[in-house]
Amino acid sequence: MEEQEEEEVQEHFDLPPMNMTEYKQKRDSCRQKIASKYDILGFISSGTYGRVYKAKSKIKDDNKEYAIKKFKPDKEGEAATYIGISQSACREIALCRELHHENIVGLEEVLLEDKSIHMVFEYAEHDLLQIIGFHSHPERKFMSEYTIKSFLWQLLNGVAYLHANWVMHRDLKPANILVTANGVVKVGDLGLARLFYKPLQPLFNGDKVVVTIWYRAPELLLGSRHYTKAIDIWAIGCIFAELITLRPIFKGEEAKVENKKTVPFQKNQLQKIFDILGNPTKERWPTIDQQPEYPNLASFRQTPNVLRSLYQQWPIKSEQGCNLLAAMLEYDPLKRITAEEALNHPYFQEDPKPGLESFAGQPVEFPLRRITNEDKDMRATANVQKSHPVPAVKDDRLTKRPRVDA
Amino acid sequence: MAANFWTSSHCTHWILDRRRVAEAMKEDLEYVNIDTLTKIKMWYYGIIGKIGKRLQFRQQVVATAIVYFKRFYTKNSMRSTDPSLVAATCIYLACKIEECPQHIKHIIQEMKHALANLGGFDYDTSKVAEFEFYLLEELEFYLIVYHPYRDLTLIAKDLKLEESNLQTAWFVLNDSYRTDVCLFYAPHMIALAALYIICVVHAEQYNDNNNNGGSGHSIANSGSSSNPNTMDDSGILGHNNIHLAQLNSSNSVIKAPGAGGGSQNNPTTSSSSSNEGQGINNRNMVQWFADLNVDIEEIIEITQEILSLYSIWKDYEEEQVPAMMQALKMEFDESYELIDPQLEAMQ
Repeated sequence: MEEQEEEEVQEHFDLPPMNMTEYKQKRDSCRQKIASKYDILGFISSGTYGRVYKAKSKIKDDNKEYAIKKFKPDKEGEAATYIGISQSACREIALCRELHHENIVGLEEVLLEDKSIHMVFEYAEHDLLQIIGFHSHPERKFMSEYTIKSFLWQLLNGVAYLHANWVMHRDLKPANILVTANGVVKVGDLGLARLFYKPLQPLFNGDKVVVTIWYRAPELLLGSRHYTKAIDIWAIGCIFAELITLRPIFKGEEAKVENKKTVPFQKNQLQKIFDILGNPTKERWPTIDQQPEYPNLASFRQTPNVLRSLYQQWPIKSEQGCNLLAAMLEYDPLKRITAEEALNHPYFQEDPKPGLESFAGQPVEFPLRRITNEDKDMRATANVQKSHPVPAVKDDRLTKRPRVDA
Repeated sequence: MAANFWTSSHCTHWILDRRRVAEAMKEDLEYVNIDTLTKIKMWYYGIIGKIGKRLQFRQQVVATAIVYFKRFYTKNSMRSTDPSLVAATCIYLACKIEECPQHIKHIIQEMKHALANLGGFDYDTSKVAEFEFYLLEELEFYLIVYHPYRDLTLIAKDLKLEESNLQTAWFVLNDSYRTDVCLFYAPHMIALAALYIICVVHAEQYNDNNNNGGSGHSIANSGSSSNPNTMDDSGILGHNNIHLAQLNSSNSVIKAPGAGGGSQNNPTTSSSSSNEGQGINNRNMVQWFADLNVDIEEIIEITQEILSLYSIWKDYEEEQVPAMMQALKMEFDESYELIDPQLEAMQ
C-alpha cells in the first residue's frame, strides 16, 4: 500500500501515468482500525485458513462478544508472492454476507487490516465437538434427549435454510456446528460452501474432496461427480448418531492422498459404513452401478444392516428417532430425507419437543471456550478471562479441511 | 438470497439512485463529455468481454466482472483511478466468486495482450492482488450478483418462445451490460425489457420488413449457437448487425402497450395473422406485457436505455479510444503548468 515510488516510475507510452497512490491513500486514511472498534480478548484457534480471536466491541452499549477470523494471505511459490484472497475466504464472505438466519452464524462485518481479511462473526461459546468431548471425558455421561433433539432440529433448520437458498455446506461436522451460551445452534465455517444452482461444471471439478472423512456420504466415497445437497443430510445423520453415543458412528481411517490428481478409494471408511448399514444393493440404491468406484464394491465382505439393533442399545429409546436416523443415512441420495422433510418428521412431534435453548434442564455447566494470550499476531488488548478449567481439545478435526487441491 | 432476489444484497444495497452515479461521474465530465465517457467505459467492458472469451468463461462470469467494474465506478472517477487495473481485478475476483478460479498470472497476461495498443498493463501479481482488497472494500464485500439470464430463460420457457427469439433476447442482455441498467433495475425487469425489445419493438420492425417484402431476417440468425447455455458474450453489437440501431432511429418513440399508443404506426393487426407460426405474435405480446404485474413504465425506461446504447454505438470507433483516454487523463502537472504562469502574471 505504500508503493509511491514504484507507481511514479510507471510509464504508459500513450497515456500519462495512471497513478493510484492518491486513490489508495484516500482509502487507507478512512479505513477504521480494528483496535479502534474491538478489544481482542485472546486467541481461540488456528487452521489452514488463518486464526480466530475472541473480541469484544468497544462501543459502550454493545456488550456482545465476537469471533474475529483473520485469514492468512494466500501465497504461492517460494518467493511467497501474495496472490489475492483464497477461494475459501471468497466463498465465506460472499455467502455469509447474504445469509441471515437464527441458526447460521452471523457475520457482523468484514474489515481489512495488515493486508488481511478479518471476518467479524457473532461469538458462540461452544461447538458440538467440544460439547461431545465434555460429555465423553473423563467418563461417558450421555446428553439428555431434549438437548440432542434441540441441537438436531436447529441444525436441520439452519441447513434447510441453506438448501432453500441453493447453498451446500459440504463440511458439516461437530467442530463446525457452533452453539451459543444459551444453547442456540449456529452452523459455522462456510469456507467450503457453495451455490449449487445449475452449476455448469460437475461440482467434482471444483473441489476434489469435500466433507471430512467420517461424515462423508457414500456417493462421495464412490466418486460421484454430480453429488447433491443430500451429502449434507448424511453428515447430519452421522452427527445425530454421535450426539447420542458420543462416538463417531463411522470412524474410518482415511486413505492418504498420494498425488493431487487422483483421489484415493476410501475402502476403510466404506467398510465402517457397511458394518452398520449392510452392503448397498441395487434394490436400496438403484443407480449405484453408475458410481465410478462401483467395481471396487465387489471386494467387500457381505454384512447385514444392524442399525436398528444397534440403536436399541443406545440411550435414546424413541423408535421415531431411529426412523429419522435411518432416513438420513439412506444410501440412495434420491431417497435420503431432505432437511425440510426432516424438520417435519414425527420424531420432532414427540416429547420431549425440541427448543431453542438446548441446554434447558441440563444440570451440567459447560466449560467456556478456552482462549489464550500466547499469540503474537493480534495481541490481546484486554485481560484474558481466566476461564479454562479443561485444556482445549486437541483434535485434527478442529482445523483440518477435507481438501486436496488448493 | 440465492433463491430470493428480494432479500439479496444486490436488491437491498446495489439497486442505486441515479444521482449517486451522476455524482461519481462529475469529475470525469470536467474532462470529457458524457458520450465520450460512455464510449471509454464501453471499451473497458469490451476488454473484459474479450478476455472472458479468450479464457472461455461463461457469460455470467463476464457479466459479474462488468457489474463489479460498474459498481466500483459509482464511487470513483475514471480519472483518479486506473480502469485497466480495476478491470483486471474485477475479472480475477469474479472468477473466484463464480466458481471458476483462474490463475492471476493468466489474467495479467491477457490484460497485457488486450491493452497492447493502449499503454499496456504494467501491474504484476502483487499489485493486482493488493488491489483486490480495495475492490472488495468498494463493493462493501457484497459479491453475489444476480443476472437477468436466468429470468429470461424462465420467462422464455413459460412463453414457449422460439429458440431464435430467445437467442436474440439473450444477445440484447449481453448488450445491456454496456449500459448502466444493471445498476438501476432488478434483473427480471431487464430480462423483460430484452423480451420487450425482441417481441414488441423489434417485431414491429420485423413485420414491417416482411410486409415490405424484406428478404431475410438477420438478427434472429445472428448467433450460431442454439443452446442458450452456450451463448457467450455475443451481442447484437458484436455481429455487425445494425437492425436494432436502425430501429432506434426509425422507432424512437416507444409507447407503453395498452397506453393508447398501439393504433398508429402499428402494423400488427394485419401482419400478426400472416406471421403465425413465427413464434412472435406482436399483439399477443403487447397484451402479455400489459397484463404483467410489473411497472411497465420501468420496462420502457430500460428499453430506451438499451436502445440509446445502439445509437451511441453507431459512431463508436475503437481507434478513438486512446485520444479519449488522453483527454480524460490530462496530466495534473500539465494543467498546473498551464495555470501557473497566469497566476504568476496576476501576482
